[in-house]
Amino acid sequence: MIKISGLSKTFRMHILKGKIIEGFKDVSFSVKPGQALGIKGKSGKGKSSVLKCVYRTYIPGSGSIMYASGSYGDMDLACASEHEVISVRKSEISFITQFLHIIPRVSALDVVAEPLVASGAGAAEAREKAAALLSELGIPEGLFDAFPSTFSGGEKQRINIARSIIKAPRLLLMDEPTASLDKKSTVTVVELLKGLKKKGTTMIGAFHDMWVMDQISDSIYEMDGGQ
Amino acid sequence: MIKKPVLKARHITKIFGKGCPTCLDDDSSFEGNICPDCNSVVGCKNISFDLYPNEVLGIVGESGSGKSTLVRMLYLDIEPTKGEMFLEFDGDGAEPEGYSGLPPQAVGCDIFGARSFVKRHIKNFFFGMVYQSAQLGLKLDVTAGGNIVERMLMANGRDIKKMRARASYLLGKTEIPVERMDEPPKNFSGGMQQRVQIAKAISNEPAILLLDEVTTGLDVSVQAKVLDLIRKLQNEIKVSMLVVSHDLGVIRLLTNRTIVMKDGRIIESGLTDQILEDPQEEYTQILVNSAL
Repeated sequence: MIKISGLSKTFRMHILKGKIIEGFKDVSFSVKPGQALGIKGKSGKGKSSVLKCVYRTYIPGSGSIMYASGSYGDMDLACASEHEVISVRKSEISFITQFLHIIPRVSALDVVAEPLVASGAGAAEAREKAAALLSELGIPEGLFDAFPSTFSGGEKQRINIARSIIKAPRLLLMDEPTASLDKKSTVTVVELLKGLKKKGTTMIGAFHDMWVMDQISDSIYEMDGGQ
Repeated sequence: MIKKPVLKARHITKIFGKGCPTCLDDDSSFEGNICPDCNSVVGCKNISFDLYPNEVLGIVGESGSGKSTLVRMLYLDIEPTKGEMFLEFDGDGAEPEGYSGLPPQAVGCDIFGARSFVKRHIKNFFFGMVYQSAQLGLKLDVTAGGNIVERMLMANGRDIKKMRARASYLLGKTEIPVERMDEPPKNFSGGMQQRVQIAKAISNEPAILLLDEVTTGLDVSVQAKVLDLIRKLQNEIKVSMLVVSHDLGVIRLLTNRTIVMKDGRIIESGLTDQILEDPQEEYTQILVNSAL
């Protein structure tokens, strides 16, 4: 499904007089359809950067990210056109980031339902699905119509997770998805992700929590180590 | 699968002043926005980009970087010194009756070089524009409803009853109390005027909506209202948007791709999250690091 070869990333910091900072270097791994790979490593080793390169939030320095897309054929995400990246993001690839970007004046329910509405689902149906997902994640119904800017960190992150998985993506990238959650919510999220995997979603995630990693991953890639 | 661009801008340059080979040559390079040889001011220099159907493209840059000059050239308000613009109509078969997309004279042709009736058609049917200042976009002494109906008349609207009904529907959608439809916008607050402008701009169901600093100068709660409206439009109507803003928060919220401008030139472009998190150019890094 996805095969990463010799991927490296450096940052040129003009603000620091053009200093080159190394993100990570020579990362190679592959993930088969429906499998999950966990990325392990200390802080600052570049776990998030690898994920961001796959999602193309970062421009990879060298190497390739071959992805077998469902509707656009094989593509190298490292050098695909911006327009191709936007298309696969819309329909196939989702990213659970560490933090939720707040959308002003949009209720929790609508934040979660939005990706479905954007892809052409009816508003009522999308909201129904979003409500079911939020209930599953333990968000009280009274909060559905409230604005997430007032929520606690854990609640915001659950909204973030719900928004990223409501469309059951083909490829799910996760950057410490459970870092801000308590044990109970973590268990719920893990069960949800397992369910998603059963339905065929391929996953790549960076985790600090070894328990979560063991629960979800079929294989592990250690930064500075190998698969 | 991946559609063709709805708008292609090619090598657009605007020189304020007499111009000379130095500032007009696409490949010439000099610092700043004053030509070293003829002292002309460079508004925009060698701007090329594509806008895709349903895409929201952001343009960021500091004041004076040529953002507004660029959109006003695209909207045919001012003439470029050189450059070309091509449009492609991308209908879904559900266009309103009488909607002809592009006039035959505009298909595959540079719009800047087209005859004036073709330009008028493009302006009235193909584009919608929301200016930074409501004074440019609205007749402040004419009623809010009148402003919108006027726009529809330009786009060959004939049935006054139907047009009035649509104006009132659009004002409702943009959260202007319908009972104030017959009041002139000069009585309205800045945020309301911007929303009347948006209602007017979408009244002819344009293929491309140009938004020039729509939220600048509005307080945050009104700004959130306007942004919310624009985001709803993105989901509800089939329209491509060009969003000009110096506010990176607005750009992050609304756009998929972003162009960064400085001194009238494009210095960097990319996916919006990439521009914000992995900017390549020095100016963009400073810009991103200056945001609140």
